[in-house]
Amino acid sequence: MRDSVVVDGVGKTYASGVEAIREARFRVVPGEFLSLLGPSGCGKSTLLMMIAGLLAPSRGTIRVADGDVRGPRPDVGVVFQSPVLLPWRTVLDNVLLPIEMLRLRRADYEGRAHALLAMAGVDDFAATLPHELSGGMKQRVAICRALVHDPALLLMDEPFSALDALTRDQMGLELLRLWEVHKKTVVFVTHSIREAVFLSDRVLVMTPRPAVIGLETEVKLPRPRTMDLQESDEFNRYVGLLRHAIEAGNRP
Amino acid sequence: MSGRALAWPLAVSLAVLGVWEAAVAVLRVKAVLLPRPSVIAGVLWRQGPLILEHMWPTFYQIVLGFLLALAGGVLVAVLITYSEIVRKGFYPLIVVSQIVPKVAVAPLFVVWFGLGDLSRLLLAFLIAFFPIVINTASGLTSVEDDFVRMARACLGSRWQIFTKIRLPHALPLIFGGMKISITLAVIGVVVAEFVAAQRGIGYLIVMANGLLDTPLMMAAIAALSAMGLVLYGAVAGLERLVVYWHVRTESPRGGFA
Amino acid sequence: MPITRRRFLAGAAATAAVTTAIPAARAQSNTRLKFTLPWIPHGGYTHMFVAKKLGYFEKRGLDVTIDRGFGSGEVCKTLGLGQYEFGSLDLGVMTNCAAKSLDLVAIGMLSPRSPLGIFSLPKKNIRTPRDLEGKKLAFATGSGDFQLWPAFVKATGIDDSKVQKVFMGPEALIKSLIDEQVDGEGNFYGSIAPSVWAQGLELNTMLYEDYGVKMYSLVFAAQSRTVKERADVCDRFMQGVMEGLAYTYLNPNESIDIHLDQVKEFKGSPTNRDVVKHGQGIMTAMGLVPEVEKNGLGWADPEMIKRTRETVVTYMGAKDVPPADQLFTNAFAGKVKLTPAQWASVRESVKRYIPARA
Repeated sequence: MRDSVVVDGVGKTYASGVEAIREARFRVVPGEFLSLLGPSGCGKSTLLMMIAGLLAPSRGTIRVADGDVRGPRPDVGVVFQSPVLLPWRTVLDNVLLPIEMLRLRRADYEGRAHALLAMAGVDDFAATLPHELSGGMKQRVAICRALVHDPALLLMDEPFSALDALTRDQMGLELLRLWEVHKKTVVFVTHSIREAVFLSDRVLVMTPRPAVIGLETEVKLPRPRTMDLQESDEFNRYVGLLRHAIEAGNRP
Repeated sequence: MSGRALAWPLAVSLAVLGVWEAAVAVLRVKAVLLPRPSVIAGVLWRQGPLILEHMWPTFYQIVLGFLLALAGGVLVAVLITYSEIVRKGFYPLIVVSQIVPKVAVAPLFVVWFGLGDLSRLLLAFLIAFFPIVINTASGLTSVEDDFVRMARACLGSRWQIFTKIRLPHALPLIFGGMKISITLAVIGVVVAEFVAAQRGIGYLIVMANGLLDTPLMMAAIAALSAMGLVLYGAVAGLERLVVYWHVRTESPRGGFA
Repeated sequence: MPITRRRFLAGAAATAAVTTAIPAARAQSNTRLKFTLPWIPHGGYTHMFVAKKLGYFEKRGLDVTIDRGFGSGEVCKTLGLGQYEFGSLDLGVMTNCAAKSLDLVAIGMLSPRSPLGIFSLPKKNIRTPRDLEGKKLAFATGSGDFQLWPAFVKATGIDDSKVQKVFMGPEALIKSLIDEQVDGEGNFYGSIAPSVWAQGLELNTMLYEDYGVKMYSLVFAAQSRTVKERADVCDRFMQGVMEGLAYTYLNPNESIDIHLDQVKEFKGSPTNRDVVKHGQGIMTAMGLVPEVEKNGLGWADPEMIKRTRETVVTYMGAKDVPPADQLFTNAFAGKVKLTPAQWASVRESVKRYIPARA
């Protein structure tokens, strides 16, 4: 089975001369939930944007589903840190935005949009405008939007970091539910160690700028993950491991 | 506007008129300097047909000039936004065109374009054009990067990003420009009529002034103000319809924003 | 160009003499003409509306539109550029514009007495030119009275530096006098007096011509090209005008009624009727000069044309002013005449308007 994502020798230097990423090299297995973990400013979002095709690498190659990444692709869905819903469109119309952009027939996808919203618990708001929703609800809509065109790969850039702790935990659980049903490959960027451990199959730690991939660890915790899991020793062992790696600025 | 919301401004206006009426009567101010509101009302009634007859050409030119300014302004704003060459070449010219006082230019226009409606239409266009260009360009360029990035992630082409993201985003600002524009168009056409017209409300005002018929002059001004209010209200009403998502932050709602 | 102008006018005279000997034949379809007034259609121009209403133009095959003007300076431009076939304006201003190669010639005299002057409310005690020193006067810069102010200053010997001047648009002049924002102002007698009198106020008048600045004022004019190529039309137009003028002289009250009927914007207020009446009376009074009584309506004395031209050259600094005989023609004038008895009755009816020294 081919890899979902192959990142090979990728580096990024900005025009200002700042080298954000020295070298990143990894693969993502189909159906895998992978987290990119690191402190703020270490370039993990930059790496994700390059996989999304929204930013070009300075060197190296990125392949998604065996094809070179040359720009945004219809087999990829992206969720950003802030929901970025269009204020003049209803929730439903926001979710259907990728369908419109791809010039597919709206009628064919409306059912799917409603189903996604229902699973996210916001289908009642399908006809409302975004300004009436809370932050958490808006982000749920954004996730539905990223999934409406049925991409195989879901890229998420610290999607819950702007939310309060309680909502955050809840959203994590819901994300896992969605993931289990739809069997997507997920690359998830976060600076929260607990979140990374809770959600992922595998965690890659990125070092500060100029970044490289440091520690890589599999998270062999049972699924489905529950909230009580966060109390267990096993869980906290992983958290401790990752924290040490980050503090040490670990390099291979 | 609801009935209740209308009551207070109406009451204030009536009170002002009442004070005006009393003051003129008590202080015995000459009608040639300041007529009483009741006298002006009388003129509006008796000479209504004459005033309406002159309102039509003015109204027509304001609306037409404004629409041309809207179309032209949006077009130029789009060109400026998307073409560095156009922006660098034409922006200074556009700014200069605004600095030149239209009253000074009006007689020149008459010499170049004749005495018909064209000169006044062009003046209305010139005067109403700038706010539209500025506001539209601002609206088109001020889209946050996040929106454009999201739209690209959703696989939007440049054209789709323009029509589905930039343009709707610019609408509140475009309407802001339109509200300024319509007001300026009213002023522009009327002022042009002062110096270069054979009919219209501005022409009527000058004619009345020439014979020191202040009641007629003020009746014409009152009619002109009413027309200006209606036009502005039309644009504002259209704005409420089109820019439906712009919510006033003070209005409390059931949930949280 | 100067030389050919002379030839036009000579030719025009000949043509006109011939055409008026024959009764005017109705054209197949009426010739459409546009005429511009120098300012708003006040009482001084009642005769134009009379001529239109009573068919004096129509019976000569002409369909005339009467437009308001925006000052003699603007009339020079719109007439000179062909936007109007005929117009009326101050001769001094016209001469100045002819010097700027605008192709204009006077084809009939309207106001042989110049209405230019300085006007004030009696309470300001301005009775002689010397009283102007230390006072504040308002002017509209494009107006003939301001352009000839230097001539007045020279003729009266007053100290110009002691006269404070403020400038405003012509539409603001009369009000600023009544509001006493200024002590006096330059204006045309026929424009200012009717409005001030209609407000029940008196006016002190100081006409330039009473202090040695003698010149012709309001005339009818056209491009010299029109005079050359369409002499017949010029003649028909001017005869219609003069017939209207004669009617107005002899039937002042009926003329006022016609004026108010034609200019609806003036119909509303009762004071307007007085304003029109006074304006008409003044224009009539300013037309009562011996050479017109003798030679017929519209006739211009070549000597006075010369004098007007000299004043313009001296005081308006105009260069390249065409010679006097190219600035006017009497080819169309003097065909409508009043009898001595009629002149006497006209003089009587406008007695109060004949300006006298303050």
